[in-house]
Amino acid sequence: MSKPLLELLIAGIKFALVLGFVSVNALFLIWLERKVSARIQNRMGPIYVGRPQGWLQTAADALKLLTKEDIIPAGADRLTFVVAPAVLFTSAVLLFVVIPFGPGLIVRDLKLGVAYAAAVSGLAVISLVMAGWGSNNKYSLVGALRSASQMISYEVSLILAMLSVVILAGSLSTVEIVEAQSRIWFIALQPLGFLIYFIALLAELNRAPFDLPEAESELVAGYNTEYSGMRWAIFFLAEYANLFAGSALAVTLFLGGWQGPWLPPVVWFFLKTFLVIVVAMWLRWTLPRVRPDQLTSLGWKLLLPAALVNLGVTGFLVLAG
Amino acid sequence: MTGEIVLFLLLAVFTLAAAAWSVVAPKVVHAALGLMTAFLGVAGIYLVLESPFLAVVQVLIYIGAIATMILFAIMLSDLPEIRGEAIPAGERGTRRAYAAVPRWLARLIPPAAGLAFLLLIRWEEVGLPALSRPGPAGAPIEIEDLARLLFNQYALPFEALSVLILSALIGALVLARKESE
Repeated sequence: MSKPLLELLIAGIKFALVLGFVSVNALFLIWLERKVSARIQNRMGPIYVGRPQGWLQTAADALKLLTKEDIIPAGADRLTFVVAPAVLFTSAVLLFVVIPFGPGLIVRDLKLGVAYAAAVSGLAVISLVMAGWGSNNKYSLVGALRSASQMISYEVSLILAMLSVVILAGSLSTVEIVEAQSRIWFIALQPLGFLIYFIALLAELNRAPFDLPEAESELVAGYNTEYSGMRWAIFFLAEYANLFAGSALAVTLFLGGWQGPWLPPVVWFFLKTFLVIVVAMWLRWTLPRVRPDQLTSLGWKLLLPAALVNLGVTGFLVLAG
Repeated sequence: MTGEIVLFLLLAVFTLAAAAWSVVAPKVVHAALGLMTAFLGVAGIYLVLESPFLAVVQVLIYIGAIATMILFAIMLSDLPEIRGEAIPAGERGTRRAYAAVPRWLARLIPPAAGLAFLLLIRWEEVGLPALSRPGPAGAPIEIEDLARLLFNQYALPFEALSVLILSALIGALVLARKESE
């Protein structure tokens, strides 16, 4: 086999692995979310399908969704309606390219890793607007516009927090950023940066307390109101894939990535990532939703100036040595 | 033909088709999405030209910011298709006429453009005079070099540009603000 063909084959295998991981992991995360929420609300959560802890429940749900009728509303704009979930899922999967699961365990160590992650995650906004507009439903459109404006405003702080880490590590490559933390994790040098990143990440993911885009009490379900069956499931899959990718990036940028004593690197990576995810879930089920004015003033009046000052101070300190 | 040229041609046809769709699409949102797809194609061409930084910037700015802003502006504007109403008959007529005439043209544009590109690439081999001297193949430009240029030699134009963008931002705010009295 010629070399380019072999490379293409390897890339295909890697892609299939990532796709499989993303799907299985999303199923697991949905189960975890249901279990965590149940624990917080003093319930049992799923227990019957797959005893003892109901670990097969989400797989059963996914199979059920696969067999449901594929409905496209009569008034919907077919093209945008059909393509929107695919765009969201693509942007989520593309994020996994630069996540270092362990030394050498990365799809591609891009030189521009962090910038690539920022660019790819920007596609998500467009898919949500496509879904909201394509559904031809006012709740969908309002939900989509809310999530788009929220994501755009918090993306700035998110990227600024990522940039402070980039300045510290002196590289955009995710692998080099992890290696730069062999002595001290960047969360120790960038506590404010980590806080800004984490809050902005929750807003980016439209998760509570920032879940205004899907506020059930006013918007039915937000941008995915008209979706059902497999297309709806793909939205959910992408949401949880994004949750994992965002948490994995938090671990990569601030928590030393795969580094840690005794245990193998991959185990450390997953332990840290799931810790971040569980904290995000914990916040979701214990905090009430913020008001729109609180959301805007937090993003523009607190997070953005704090991120700018943090970036400036970091740059100054690195320059001063 | 090398793989690079095949990739380039595919991307060129993809980009041009998306751009053509953006021009003839009867719905404004479709036009915006077509433009976004064309941006994506251009980013792909940058990748083929071994300029990943430019590709990332293209996606980050043109899709992440500009296309999103265009979509946003459309959603917030008072168009019948955003209000969920049917497009008025008169407007629909002109739109249909506008959309129908160039449709066969739109189908022709991508293959024609592809052919033109092919001709340009194989120009010298066909025996026609060279269009331009190929420059010496230098080392690939690193981000560090780009940053050094941007913050040293081009620092003043760079700052002037940001002042320009800032003034545009303030201008837009002033224009969009409703009179409170």
